[in-house]
Amino acid sequence: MITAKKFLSILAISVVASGMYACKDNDDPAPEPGNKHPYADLIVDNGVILYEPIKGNRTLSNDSVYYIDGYVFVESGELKIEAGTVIMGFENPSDVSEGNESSLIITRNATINAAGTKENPIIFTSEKDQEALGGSPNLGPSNSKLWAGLIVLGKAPVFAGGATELQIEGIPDGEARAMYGGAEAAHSSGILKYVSIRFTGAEIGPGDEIQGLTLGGVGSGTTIEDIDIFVSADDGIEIFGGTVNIKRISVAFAEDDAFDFDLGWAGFGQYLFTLQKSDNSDFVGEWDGADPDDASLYTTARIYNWTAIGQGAAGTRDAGFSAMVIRDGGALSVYNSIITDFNGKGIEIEDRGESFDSYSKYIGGENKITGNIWFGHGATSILDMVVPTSADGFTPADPTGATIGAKLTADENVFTDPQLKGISRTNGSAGLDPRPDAAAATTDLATVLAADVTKGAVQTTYKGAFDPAGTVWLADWTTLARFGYLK
Amino acid sequence: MRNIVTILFFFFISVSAAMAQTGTVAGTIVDGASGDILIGVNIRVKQTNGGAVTGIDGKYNLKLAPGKYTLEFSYISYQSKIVEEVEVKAGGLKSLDMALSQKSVDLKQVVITASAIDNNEVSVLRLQKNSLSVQDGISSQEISKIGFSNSAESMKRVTGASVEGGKFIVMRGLGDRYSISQMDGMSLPSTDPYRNSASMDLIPSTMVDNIVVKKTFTPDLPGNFTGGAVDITTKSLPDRFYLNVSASVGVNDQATFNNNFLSDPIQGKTDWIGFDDGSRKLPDLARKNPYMTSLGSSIASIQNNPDNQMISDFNRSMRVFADRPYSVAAGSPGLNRSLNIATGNRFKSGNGNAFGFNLGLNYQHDNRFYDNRVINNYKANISNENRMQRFLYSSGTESLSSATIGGIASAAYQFGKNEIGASVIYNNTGDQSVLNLDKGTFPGALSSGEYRNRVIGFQQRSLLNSQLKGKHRASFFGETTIEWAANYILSSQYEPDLRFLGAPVTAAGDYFFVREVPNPFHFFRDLKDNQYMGKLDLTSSMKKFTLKYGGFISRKERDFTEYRYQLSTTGTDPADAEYLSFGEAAGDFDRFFGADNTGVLGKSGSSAIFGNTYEDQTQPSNLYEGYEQVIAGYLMGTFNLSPKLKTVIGARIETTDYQVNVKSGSRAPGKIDAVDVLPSLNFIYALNDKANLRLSGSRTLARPNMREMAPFISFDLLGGFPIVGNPDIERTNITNVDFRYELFPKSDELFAVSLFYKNFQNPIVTELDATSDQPQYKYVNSQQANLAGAEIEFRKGLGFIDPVVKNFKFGVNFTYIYSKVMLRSAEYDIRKQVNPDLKNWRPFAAQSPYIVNLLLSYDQKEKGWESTLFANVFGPRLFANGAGAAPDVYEVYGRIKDKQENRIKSNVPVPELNFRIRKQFKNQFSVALNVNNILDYDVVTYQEHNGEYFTTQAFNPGRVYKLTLGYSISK
Repeated sequence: MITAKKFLSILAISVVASGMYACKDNDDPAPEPGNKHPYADLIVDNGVILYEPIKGNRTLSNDSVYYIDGYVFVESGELKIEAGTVIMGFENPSDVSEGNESSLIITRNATINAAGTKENPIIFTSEKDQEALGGSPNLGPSNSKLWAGLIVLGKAPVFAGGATELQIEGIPDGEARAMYGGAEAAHSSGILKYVSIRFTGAEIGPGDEIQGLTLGGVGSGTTIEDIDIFVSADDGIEIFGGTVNIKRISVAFAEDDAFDFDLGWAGFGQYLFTLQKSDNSDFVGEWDGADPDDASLYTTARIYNWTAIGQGAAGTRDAGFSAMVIRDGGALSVYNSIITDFNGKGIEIEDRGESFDSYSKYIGGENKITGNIWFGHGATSILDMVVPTSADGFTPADPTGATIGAKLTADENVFTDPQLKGISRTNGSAGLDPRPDAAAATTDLATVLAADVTKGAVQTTYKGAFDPAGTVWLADWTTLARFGYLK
Repeated sequence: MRNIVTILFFFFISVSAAMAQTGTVAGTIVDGASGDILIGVNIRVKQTNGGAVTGIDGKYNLKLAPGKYTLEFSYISYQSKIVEEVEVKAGGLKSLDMALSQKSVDLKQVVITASAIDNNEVSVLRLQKNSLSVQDGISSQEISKIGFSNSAESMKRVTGASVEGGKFIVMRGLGDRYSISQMDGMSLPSTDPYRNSASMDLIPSTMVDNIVVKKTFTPDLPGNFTGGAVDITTKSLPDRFYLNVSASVGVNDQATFNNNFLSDPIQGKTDWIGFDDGSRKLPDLARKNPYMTSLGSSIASIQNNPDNQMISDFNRSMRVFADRPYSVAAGSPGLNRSLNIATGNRFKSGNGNAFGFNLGLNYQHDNRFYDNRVINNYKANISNENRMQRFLYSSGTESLSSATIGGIASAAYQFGKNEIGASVIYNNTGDQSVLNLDKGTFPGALSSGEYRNRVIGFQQRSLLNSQLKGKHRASFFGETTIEWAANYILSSQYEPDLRFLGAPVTAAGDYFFVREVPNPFHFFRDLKDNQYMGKLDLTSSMKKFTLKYGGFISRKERDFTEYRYQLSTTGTDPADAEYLSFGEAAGDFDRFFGADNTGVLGKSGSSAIFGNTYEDQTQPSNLYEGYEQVIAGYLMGTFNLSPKLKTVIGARIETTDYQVNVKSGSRAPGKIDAVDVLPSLNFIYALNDKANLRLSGSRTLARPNMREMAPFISFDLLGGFPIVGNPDIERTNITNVDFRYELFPKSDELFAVSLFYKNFQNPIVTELDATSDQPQYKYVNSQQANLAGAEIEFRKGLGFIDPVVKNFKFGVNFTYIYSKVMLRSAEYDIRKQVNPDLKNWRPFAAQSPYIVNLLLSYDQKEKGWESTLFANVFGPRLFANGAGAAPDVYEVYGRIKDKQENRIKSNVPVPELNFRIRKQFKNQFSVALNVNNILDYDVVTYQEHNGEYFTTQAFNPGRVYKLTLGYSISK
């Protein structure tokens, strides 16, 4: 444990010239005598500080604790992370690091092989987090921004303003290693499985933050499954384009949007879970389509079996706002999901009176919102929960939202309390059980698209991320489970 | 200051008492062919048999009792001139400049009457006629006639010049990068971290003797010359004692007496003279404060161990900005006002040596208010009919208050064939601003509700220029004039505690924060430049030719820092009764940002309750230091190939050694290390003694500035795109060709036509990075650019039309420019995907396709009346680049016709029209009235699409009425 006094001494460390620093792991180059990393005295005995670009194959083994100091780019090769490895970020990177925040960036010329297990998940967290190293939980939902986050970049298609290769948000521009996108839809960035990402979201510039997990142009060859994102000052997960499919993703306590999709993501997501704080959070889903809105590549992702718990009755978000939004020409589908406990309205589908806006696509049948359960405290019915786009400089086609409401109703969306078995946002409460009432969650099921089934999506017998009669996949390994939120 | 004024006053009284009731005749004598000054010209007064000799500056000075005299000007091998009826009044000054010509076969003396030659406009024109390069000028007389208050404004009069943002000169469509600003022959540094050229508005017109703009390169000029070199000559050795005092009051019809005018509640004791007294300075506690650099860890530590000592330290840190409010005060700012005092004298010793000095003080306070300040942003669709999509729409007011104080002290001593001078010029301007955009929507991020925006700023710019210079005449290599100068220049731009607040407000009236807009922050920026310069110019006049040669060295060192501290509400819980959330504060910024709502507010059981906190968002890479060093040497010769054809040929070698280092991180420094040879060839063919043809060709260069080389991102607080530096940027090489025909029908008349062409290799331009997910400018070298243009200038008295209008004078100049900067494929290939009609070029930034100046003046000297009507019009100029499918942004002075959308209906410019009338009483008192911006234009930037002008920014500067009382004596 690092005491408050020691903490201050970390911060008091003065400017030191660059060079090679102490590394205690056999996989790392031998330390050059006389040079010591400025933070070398602040890490655990088996600690290794990563602060330089990684080139070629490298293994992070679970008998060491790794520290990320500044931007650590994996420039080439495979970064293998053994199950059970803990990787910690510094809030205030040292003077020998690159960049102003700590972040691990898998560039598109490299891959990551982080296959944790339920028993031994891989944990990316803050160096303040004692629980990750076997102690008791000492951090909570208000401890965001302790490091930046994990970024994975690939070569699958993206599009913005005519460009098909882009620089990822969160890294200063002009950084060639931060480019993502390409023409390889089936590209693989490797594997992320049973990975926990905690206390992220440091800001690198006004309005420019790194989310818990950022996926830029990640291709369908990549495995992203069983991911736990716990506390982020920005989005929980943000997907910029690409074709990757994601499964069993939990986002708890993101201060911006839990699930943020943009720039033409074409994959699917199944078994997604969102838990919001009662304050300081935005959409459970912010789903943007394209840049510009009428670009030919826009987000067409399908979301199956999502359970989203909003801010709750005590939420501080404006009651006129919707829990989720589909906009900028996005055409995302939502099937068999439960969006509940939001404090205001339910959904906005942007309607600017344009042939290519999200409303036109939805009403035209491009995407489906089918078989979902909605419940919130600022609305009384499906019709009432629709937020019409306000008319400012344009004329919406559906100024009251009645057309959207009618279509939602026709497509088996119901406004009813799914009666989750327990909602709790309190550490150690053991009050969270996100399984719904079985009766409500098993009627009027939508069919998972055949194309997605061939890619690994599962025809389920229930709505939401959790089987009303089965076990909760969050159990045991996620931060929600380990910190005692889960029943 | 009052004491200084009193001392000065008594000094003048005593000086004036000591003077006898005489008058003065003074002037400069030049070679009629070359324009070179002539030293040692004899001036004989026929009536008294007394006389004088011109000094090293070519000037003479005669004290005579009132009466009428005949003067004879004679010089070896030159034709003598006799001037009759030179009238000398008690206490009066008769200016008599003269050009002498080399003796020809015809030995007849030239006799003229004094009334045929009088003012210094003539000398500026004569300078123009005889100069080796193409040049235009504006005299102090003309500056005061039009009533310009500073050098930047005065530049509007110059052919081919326009002024950007009220400060920066655009010559021949080329922005500040391509123009040099010099004061007394030495380059002035920039006080703006983003710019190359000096802010000319820092130099008050009362300090200016004349401004000359050279438009073609000769090797004795700095090589970073393309558009032009503006040389401001400050007042030097005066002709006699003078004292000018003027005071003015002004009314801006938008600002003055307007109770909606907003100001920063922080008002320092010295704000009135443009200095921050420390009220806004960066608190020491905020620098590298561990709680703010690692806020998240600090909060976690306190949560885990709410130790009282730590909480107390934490709170002290978090509350450093609690007394820096976001609220603003409303109230009328009062009248604009100014005071100028200038004096000088000339003393003669018995042996003909002369000593002179000038002292000047000026103070100015102006207020401006834009009651319709508009800032909009659009997202562009591919679809042609739905191209312009609103992203952010905001409007409100902007209140600006500017205070300037400055002074000049110079002294010169002439002895024999030598002159030595020293001068110190100081100027400080403090600009306070409150941008308050309280009406707005943000459809790009918010489906409903309003968006409000406030920026409170203070910017202090100062310039201290001290110079030692000398001029000597020696007899080697024929006759050689040696001129040298050494300067130390300190310039700074200091922006303490800029406060930014952008907040959405729900339909229900609740304030909140969104991720799309940065949380409120305090921003500090400080730039300091130290510059040392030295130069040596030698001019050797041989029988057949003149050689000029010399060297120049300049080194500028810069230190730049930028700090940002941003509000964080991460640790707060709105459920805590102790904490007042942004929504609960409902716009009461004083309570929300107050000390009582910041830091740890108390404890609940054993856990701490957090209020607002601040994190240090300073990017270490935004602190940079660097230097610019230029060493140059040149040689040029002037030859008469025939009696009518003169050529100036030569070359300059310039070394560029630039380096910029960010103070931390591993980024490579920006570096330029280069040697350039810059040849120049000029031909001047005298068609007759009234007309010249000129042809010139040269190579010049342009360099990036340190900001452009420093690899950091800076944010535009007005909603523009951020901009990032480029350490790999290169200098630009330029080839220039100029042709000019000029006719000087009479001494004060001119007709000139110029054609010019320039080719740029690697021009430095800003490009919107198309691969960035959020639009961001970067500085890049485009492959090449071309620019061509024409200028026509015409000045004439109107007496030829009818003697009734003989007191009217008319001047017009017109400039047409066409330029093409090729888009790089990195931009073009990508943007073409979303806008198939995209052109693969754009003009230079700030280049207008045309500029027109019109001047109509009426002088009735006998009755003391003079008045001037001045109009300036420029065509729409490129203001910013468009992103993706969006059109580029242009700026025009127009008129908003669509009040609903704040749009212009046509981009035909509205002229800036200024009028001045002045009446002189009994030679000592004068009253002048200026009316500026009579037509009351709006400044609008827009993106044009399908014939519609989508406003991105707009404001209405208003009309200004100024009444000036002047008192001047001279003996």
